[in-house]
Amino acid sequence: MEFFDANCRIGSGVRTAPAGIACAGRLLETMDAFGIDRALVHGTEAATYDPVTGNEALMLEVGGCGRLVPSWVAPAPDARGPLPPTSFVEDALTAGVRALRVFPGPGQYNYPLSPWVCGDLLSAMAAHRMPLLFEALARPWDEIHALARSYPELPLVCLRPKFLEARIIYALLDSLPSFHFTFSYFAVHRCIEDICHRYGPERLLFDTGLPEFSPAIPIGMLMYAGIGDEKKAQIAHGNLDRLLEGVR
Amino acid sequence: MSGQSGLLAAGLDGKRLDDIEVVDVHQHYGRCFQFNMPHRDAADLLAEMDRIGIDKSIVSSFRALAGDPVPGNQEVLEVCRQHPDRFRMYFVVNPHYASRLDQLFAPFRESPFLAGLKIHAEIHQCPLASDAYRWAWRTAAELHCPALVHIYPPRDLEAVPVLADEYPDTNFLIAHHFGPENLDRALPLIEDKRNVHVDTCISALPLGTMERLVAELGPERVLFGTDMPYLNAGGQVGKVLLAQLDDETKKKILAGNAKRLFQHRL
Repeated sequence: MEFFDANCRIGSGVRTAPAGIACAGRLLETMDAFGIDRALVHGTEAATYDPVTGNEALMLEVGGCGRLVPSWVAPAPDARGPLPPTSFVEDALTAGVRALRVFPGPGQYNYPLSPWVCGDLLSAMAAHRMPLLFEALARPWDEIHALARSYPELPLVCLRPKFLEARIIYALLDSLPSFHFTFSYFAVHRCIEDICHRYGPERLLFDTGLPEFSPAIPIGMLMYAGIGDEKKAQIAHGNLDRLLEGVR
Repeated sequence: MSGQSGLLAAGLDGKRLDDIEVVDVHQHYGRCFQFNMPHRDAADLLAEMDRIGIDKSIVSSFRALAGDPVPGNQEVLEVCRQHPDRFRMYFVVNPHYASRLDQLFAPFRESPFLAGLKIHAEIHQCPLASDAYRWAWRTAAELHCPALVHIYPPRDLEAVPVLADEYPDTNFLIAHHFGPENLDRALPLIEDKRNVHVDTCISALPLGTMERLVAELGPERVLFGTDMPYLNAGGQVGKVLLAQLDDETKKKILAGNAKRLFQHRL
């Protein structure tokens, strides 16, 4: 099975990298050990210190390695900042970056994902169909719902929602066609089968959370799921490929 | 991926485990109130066990844990009677019924399907060191049936080694290996407590956890559990199969250790 991991990070930050996986070489070794072909990665410092610094470090680290696909962290909204959101999106696209990640939560960059705060960024991303990745724990669900309604063209990828949030996730899938999520922490009994049955396989993305988390649980969940190989391949890599290829 | 072990390859392929024995020491029956849980009857559990290759499971009742323990424990006994080759049960010990435990346990005491006792200090909001659990520790020792213990950290962390010393003939099987976030504190506490074991089931696995459990506790004190249908069984078996451990150790975790710990009760 070809795996394309939607959720990896690379580089050292305020803490040393888990399991010593701070550089591209070590991340690739770990991916090899679990049979993971490619990974969408963001820079550790981009998440915890400064997006511009971290994004630059990310690009240096991944270099021309085709297996590590960079995703930039969008800067927090700041009217006096040096880079207008529209320029940032254009710069990202020029650099070959086709997905942006945000860290708006408490203890992160501290802002709501609302049109009146970061509408310029969200509008620019929506215009390009550029996927927005966010951690499940970082945002109130009402805010995500309103965001999806305001920007229906913006593909949303919720990373690692917890299994205890299953009722919320099902409601979001019911009402938001642009909502996708990764299932590595969504450890519900037979959830992959159930979601494929209700919604089709298109809304599920494979991720690991490397280097913090082991890929073993999501790989086991997918490979032992009672769905056909075609659906497994869609989830393992096809859906993320489709979202990235849909950027225009 | 050249040179990979047979069980690693099986996990990467999602291959049914026909060639080895697999015993799930942490499974449930019924409905959990916390989230929607598709497919949860005995037929579904069996279908999932068959698809993965789990030969036998030890089950406790959600109803007994979070509702009335009397019909809850009884319903799991009925499931065991209907599928005697596949299921064994934990009798859920509700500490709020402490004065009636001898009476409530009577129909289960001699049952061939009784494998152990289940303690859930978090749901029952009762400290592990409470006198209300002393019946459980005594009974587990008397009947040679292990106690599967879900602790409520950090409150209960220190209680485990104390109880292990106080009840040396009781085998404590700690659910979810104390929780990954507690390993730094917990593992040194039980390093030399040979009557304390851990199961493997957990919703999110920090990289290297399985290898750490085996390195610090030895390969004999780590037992495979799925927590199905609370958790996804494929993910739980995947964490053992894909661990950086040799196949002999994985076989011990998947069945050998359970057979040794539960003995004739399996």
